[in-house]
Amino acid sequence: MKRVLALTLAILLFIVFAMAFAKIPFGEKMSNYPDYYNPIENQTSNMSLPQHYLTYGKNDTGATNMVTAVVVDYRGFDTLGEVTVLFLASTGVGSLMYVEDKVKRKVRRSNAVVETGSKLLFGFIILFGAYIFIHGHLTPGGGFPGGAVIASSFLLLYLAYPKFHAEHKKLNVSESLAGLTFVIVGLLGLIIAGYFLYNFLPFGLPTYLFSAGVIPVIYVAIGVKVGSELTGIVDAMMGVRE
Amino acid sequence: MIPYYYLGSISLVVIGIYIVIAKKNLIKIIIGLDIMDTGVNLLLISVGYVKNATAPIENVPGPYVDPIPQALVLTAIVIGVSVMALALSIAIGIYKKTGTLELDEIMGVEE
Amino acid sequence: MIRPVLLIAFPLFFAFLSPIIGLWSKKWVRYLIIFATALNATLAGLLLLEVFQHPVFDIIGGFQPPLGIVLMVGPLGAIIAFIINLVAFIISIYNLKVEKEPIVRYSMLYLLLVMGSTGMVLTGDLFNLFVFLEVTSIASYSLAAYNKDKKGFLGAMKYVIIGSIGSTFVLLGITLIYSELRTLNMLDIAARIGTMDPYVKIIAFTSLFLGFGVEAEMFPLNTWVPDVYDGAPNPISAAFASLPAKAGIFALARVIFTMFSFTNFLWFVVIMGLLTVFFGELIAYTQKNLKRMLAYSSIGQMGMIIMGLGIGTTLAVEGAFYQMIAHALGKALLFIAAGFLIYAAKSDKIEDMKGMARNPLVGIPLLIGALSIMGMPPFAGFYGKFFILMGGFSEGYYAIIALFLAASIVEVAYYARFIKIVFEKGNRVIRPDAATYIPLILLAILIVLIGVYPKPILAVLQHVSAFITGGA
Repeated sequence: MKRVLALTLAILLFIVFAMAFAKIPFGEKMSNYPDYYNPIENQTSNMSLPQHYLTYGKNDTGATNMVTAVVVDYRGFDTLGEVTVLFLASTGVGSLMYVEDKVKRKVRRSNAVVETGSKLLFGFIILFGAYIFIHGHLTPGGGFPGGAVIASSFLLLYLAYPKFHAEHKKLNVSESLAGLTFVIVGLLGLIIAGYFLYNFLPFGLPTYLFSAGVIPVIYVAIGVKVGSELTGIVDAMMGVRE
Repeated sequence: MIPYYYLGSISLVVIGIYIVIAKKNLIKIIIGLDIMDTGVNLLLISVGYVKNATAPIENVPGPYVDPIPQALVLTAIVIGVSVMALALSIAIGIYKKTGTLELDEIMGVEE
Repeated sequence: MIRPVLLIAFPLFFAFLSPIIGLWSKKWVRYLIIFATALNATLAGLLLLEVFQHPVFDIIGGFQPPLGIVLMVGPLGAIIAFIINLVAFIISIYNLKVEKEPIVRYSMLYLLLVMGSTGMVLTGDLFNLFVFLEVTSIASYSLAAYNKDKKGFLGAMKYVIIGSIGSTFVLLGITLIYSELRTLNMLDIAARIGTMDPYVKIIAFTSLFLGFGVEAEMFPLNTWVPDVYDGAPNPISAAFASLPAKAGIFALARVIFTMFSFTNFLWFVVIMGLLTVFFGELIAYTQKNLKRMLAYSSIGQMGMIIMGLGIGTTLAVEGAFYQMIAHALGKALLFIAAGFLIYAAKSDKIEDMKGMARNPLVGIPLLIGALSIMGMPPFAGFYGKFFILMGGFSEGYYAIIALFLAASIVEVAYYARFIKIVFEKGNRVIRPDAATYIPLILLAILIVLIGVYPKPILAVLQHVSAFITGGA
């Protein structure tokens, strides 16, 4: 009965949304997009929003990767919210997995191949993660993928050494400091230029590492934060082990 | 004619919704939520596609695709991961308290 | 000049700071949270005074909208933000009663719940609204299961499932709107909504409406409400009724009026509202568990607000906003009182609570709160219901008015039954401690004040006519 109901609902939703999306052209040229309207100045622009980003993005933000320009600069506030969401998830998992009576769970050793391999790879993976988030404004990638790569190196350690424990206090401190960096950069923008999250540092030369103003600063903070938060989530879910 | 990119993503969303309603195992329901999430993300990404265009990065010859959906999906993915992490830890909690993940059995188990 | 963004930046700053302080002293984290919410309430109050003349736009990152994100605060948004932060401050005093570990994480989650709800009210960007919705709901998921018992976990699981479906719908709506208009700013969308394909427009509206309806406790996506309110720690039940629910319904109002610019009678919204009212009030009548009864009553009240928004005349929407304020104060009070009653009776059944409210420090605020929720003059709840009724009456929707009144009578009946039991002669009377009675008295004073002297609120609500024609 429940299955029939679910199936009917699913087919109904499919038809409704397919009919709506049938009216949306796929792969349309950007010149066909509607022009945007600025509600504060009360004027219509002569180009669409994505066209504006692609045309003026380099001058506006100094970044060469336009997705990064949108994520960290134009829509940086969303990213602050996103970082908060991940922070909440790690805090929430930590609070739900918290146990008062620390009963330790017995675990088995993994084998020598995994242990040696992960010892070898650990440093390289961290290096690669750091590379990804430091170059976020120049190449594909950024703070979130970089942080996830760093967390995966810790995941490898958990696999190889089941008794391994990341130190909670250090994780918490690096999480908070990275978050505070983001908020303080935002507040500095408010103080210096009057806009929260304003890109107040010099842009430098495009395609160079030290360019795009505050974007690399924010991305490094995000990378550290995401790395320590995901590690924290994994650690909390593993529970207390011996 | 509706492009099959849209059809595929909408199917994923709908399959997710079906799983969430019809299945009775918590882990299966959580997988359903994840499929649903993936479907919406794919849909959002495919809305930003421009024919014969590439990623919006300097040095790569244009034309470029719309960068905004990519930025939005980045946010949506992170949010999805966070929800998944919480859902799984709640499922672990339920398992610790009741010893089962089947919804029919959970209701009957005393704490 | 107060920048609206400070209302979001400061709580974030304190939330990120608290793990570091927590390493040193857990007690100070609790006081820090009280300080942070008090600061936020003050800022919101000052902001309210400022936006009285004209709406404030706070451009973030220095890019003009729709290029960047903008916070858009009108008088109505400011008063809802003020009420949210004020109630959050009052509940944060009651938070001192929570003993269960890990208390530092609890405080952080609570502060970010407040931040998310405030952000949902202030933002002027559709996707940013989605992000704040997720901040709010993820904080709620973890707080709902904070007790770590079976009840809490099951409630939270239900909430996660329904909440995820809701956010999927919101994202689908955003995708539809973005693919047609290529913008995410609410006022930009409002200006060009007419160019959208009518079918796509309706589907986008329905998706957003259902999605935000999860937080606004709208039928049929509200089955999580009783389980979550029942399973959550007592301060959190109080906070859920007044913070995310109000933010969710304000987001609904933004979707209906600011973005889609519907000005006339909305059948769909009114019917959803009516269904919500009846679902809530009728089940509340049958409940024996106090927190579940209050939860269903909360659903009923939210339904009344949705109805007020749907009727769509100035008077009815004014009533809806008045009801939001009154309900935020009244339900917070009742849930705090319920927390005390459950503690005193060592049971959550209403029948076990004979005479538990005979201590005046609890009894008088409880009576004021219940009368206000029932809609008795001269308390705050009266004006809300009265305006919604008059709004419907002046337009001649007599059938809807009759149903509304019937639901109100059911509400009066079960609250009267509850009051009769808790004030009956019982055997023992327990004295509440300061962390319980101070919030109760503060909320009771506010309810009486707004009820007896409604002028300032009515002055703010004059801006409703500008709001429903698509203003901030």
